[in-house]
Amino acid sequence: MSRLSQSRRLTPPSRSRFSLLFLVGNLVFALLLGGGVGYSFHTRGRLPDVRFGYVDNHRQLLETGKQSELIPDLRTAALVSFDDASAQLQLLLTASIVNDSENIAVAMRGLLSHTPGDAELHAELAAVLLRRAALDEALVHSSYAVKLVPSSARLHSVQGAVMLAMGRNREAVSAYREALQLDPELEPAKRALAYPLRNY
Amino acid sequence: MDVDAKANFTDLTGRCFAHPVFDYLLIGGGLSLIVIPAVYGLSDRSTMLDSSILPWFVLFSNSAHFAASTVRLYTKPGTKDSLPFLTLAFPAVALGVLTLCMFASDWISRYVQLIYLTWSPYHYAAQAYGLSVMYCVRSGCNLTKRQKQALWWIAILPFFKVLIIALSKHAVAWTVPDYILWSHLDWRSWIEWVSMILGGLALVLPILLFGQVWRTTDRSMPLISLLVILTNALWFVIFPLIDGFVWTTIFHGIQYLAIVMIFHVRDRLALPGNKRSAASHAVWFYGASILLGYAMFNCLPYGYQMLGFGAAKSVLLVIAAINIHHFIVDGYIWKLGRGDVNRRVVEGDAVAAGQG
Repeated sequence: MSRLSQSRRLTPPSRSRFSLLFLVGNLVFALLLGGGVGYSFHTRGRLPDVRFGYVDNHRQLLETGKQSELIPDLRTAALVSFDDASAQLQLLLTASIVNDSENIAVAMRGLLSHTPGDAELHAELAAVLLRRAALDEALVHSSYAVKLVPSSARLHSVQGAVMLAMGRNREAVSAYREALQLDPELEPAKRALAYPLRNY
Repeated sequence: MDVDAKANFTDLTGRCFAHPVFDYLLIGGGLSLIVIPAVYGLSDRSTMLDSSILPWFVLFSNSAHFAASTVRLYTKPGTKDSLPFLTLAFPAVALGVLTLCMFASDWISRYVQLIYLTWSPYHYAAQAYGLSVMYCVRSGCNLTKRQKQALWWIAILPFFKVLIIALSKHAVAWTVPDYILWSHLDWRSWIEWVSMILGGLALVLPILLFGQVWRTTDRSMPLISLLVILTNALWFVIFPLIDGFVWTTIFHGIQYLAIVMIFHVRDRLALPGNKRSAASHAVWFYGASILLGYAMFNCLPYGYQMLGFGAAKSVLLVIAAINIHHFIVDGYIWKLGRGDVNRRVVEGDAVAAGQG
């Protein structure tokens, strides 16, 4: 910044360097613009749309059924444009189709920034993280889900599953029992207490 | 209407650049008070956002406004001599930094995004403050140093509101460990409260300052000075973050285009050899801004895709770079320093206001 304001005192050699930079910058800019227009013609047969590009690009790939090709770009969109819930939802759907749990988790973390109070989403993320063996993070989200809606049997059951995976069996039993108190027919809780946690 | 009543009315309206209707609607932000309720009241908002009209609306207001600062930089008399780094070297520097960011996008992009998204409300607020003071000066309302300081802090309250939400939603999530972020500590409610208080203050304090100036100075602040501050705050307060951004950005773009074209046209008309009409200068400036806006926002990302970068990365980083470039350029082209042509445009009528 200070350089900008000092620019009035430029000497002629500095000025010629700046002029050279100006020429180079504009040349590169013109090449990128020309190349961009040419690339748009080459790939889509028309000038760049007035609508910003990547949404259409994603739609095109979805329509052609190339979901796995779409995921890296959707992941970038979801991570870079962190307020873009539609990119995060699209990533969640696409990654779910190809069973890509890493990117399902990325999408869910992004979505939670919009709805931090969504207990179901916390529990879903905990379940995904459990499958990826990211147990510490899974515990954080399952506990938070239970804190948000303590009356949900399913959320206690997810909490129990995370505890069980961590080897914290007594806490797992407690979570599963809580789940069964709320819903005596909850199968995952009944199964867990009947077999792996039978002796606790 | 007697003479005193007429004078009071002129005092309150302020000395406008074009016509009170034009200035209040486009520069003051009054148009947003009509359009936004109409969109929500008369149609389904999602229809508007999804329709094919919106991209054109963005091009004609938003993209054109970003390009307008660059067009102004190169058409404003004397800038190549007074700002050689900005005019000659900065475009290449910006392009170089953008390209480097493309290579390191996985870790740097979201921070670049966060910088421009939090800089935007600061930029909008600073513009609202600048316009508010400019109308005071033109209208002969001499704010004291303290009143100017108060106006500045009041004008940037919406920025603090957005900053606190954006940081709590994103930057905190990237840096704070999960077990603290999702702990039993209910810090999100506190953030909501603080942001609500800031929003309330952003709407009430401008009116209180207006009243204070009314009571203590010879001439009141013109209403447009109040309106421009209030309309900048209003949409960030009423709407959730993203909706507030969309609407404020659109009307900021319109406001910017209106004021920059007024300055451009007056500079051109003041040139000794000028033979063209004001309308033709305005059409030329706006046309150049639309073309450059289309080139930068819509063509440049394809240039990076041609080089093998992903579509989302190319589009999002180009948008971020254009925003940041615009904020920096804007910090220089609106200076009102001694001898600056901007000062002539503002003071030209202010002298008349002082006499009137």
